[in-house]
Amino acid sequence: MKTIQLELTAQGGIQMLHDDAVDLSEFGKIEVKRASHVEFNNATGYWYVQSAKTGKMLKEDCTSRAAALEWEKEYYSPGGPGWEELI
Amino acid sequence: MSHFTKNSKANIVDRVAFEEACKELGLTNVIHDTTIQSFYGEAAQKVDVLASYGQRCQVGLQKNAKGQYDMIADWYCVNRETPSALRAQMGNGRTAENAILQFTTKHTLARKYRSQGYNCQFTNSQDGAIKMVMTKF
Repeated sequence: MKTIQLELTAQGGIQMLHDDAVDLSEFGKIEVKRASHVEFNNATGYWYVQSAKTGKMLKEDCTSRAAALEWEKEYYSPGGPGWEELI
Repeated sequence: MSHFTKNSKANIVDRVAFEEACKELGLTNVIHDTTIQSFYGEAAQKVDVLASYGQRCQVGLQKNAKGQYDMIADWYCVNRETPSALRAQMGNGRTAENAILQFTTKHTLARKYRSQGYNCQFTNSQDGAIKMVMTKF
């Protein structure tokens, strides 16, 4: 199952964690910025998620890159724990 | 690694979505290819769609050179005779225009992604934002 989450702002804008399935540029000019880094830690053998804004390590024990991306997607979804950091 | 994408103010690209949004917000009388006038009846402008409520609350949609649409209204009139559904969306600095634009974008996305097989659900936030969740099996 594919899930995409976005927020329609009270002022008439749209914002979301980027997903190629939704092309926001059809609604006009867009701004894109990095939300996070997902990397493999050679020392621990796990994938980790790190905030691009604060550098804070958010999750360090993902056994696959897909798992890290899935966790990150929930974390940064509208209403999720990391959403306020992005907007 | 992910990126955050933001559009600060969405253009109106779907005329039908605008009509659906207006109906949801109480501007239930919709007609095509007509004119819109200001409060005192002057400055009539041609519009592709006119959504209205009562005698004075009228919002029009006019196609622009880019193939998108501009919203036209005498907002003084809209604010004087506002349907309750639209009034409920206003306040805290949020105008009628903001609300109609937001609902138009909501219907634009719903129409587009439902036609692609997505299930679309919406949740209203206290700050006026709408969260949209699209799922596809």
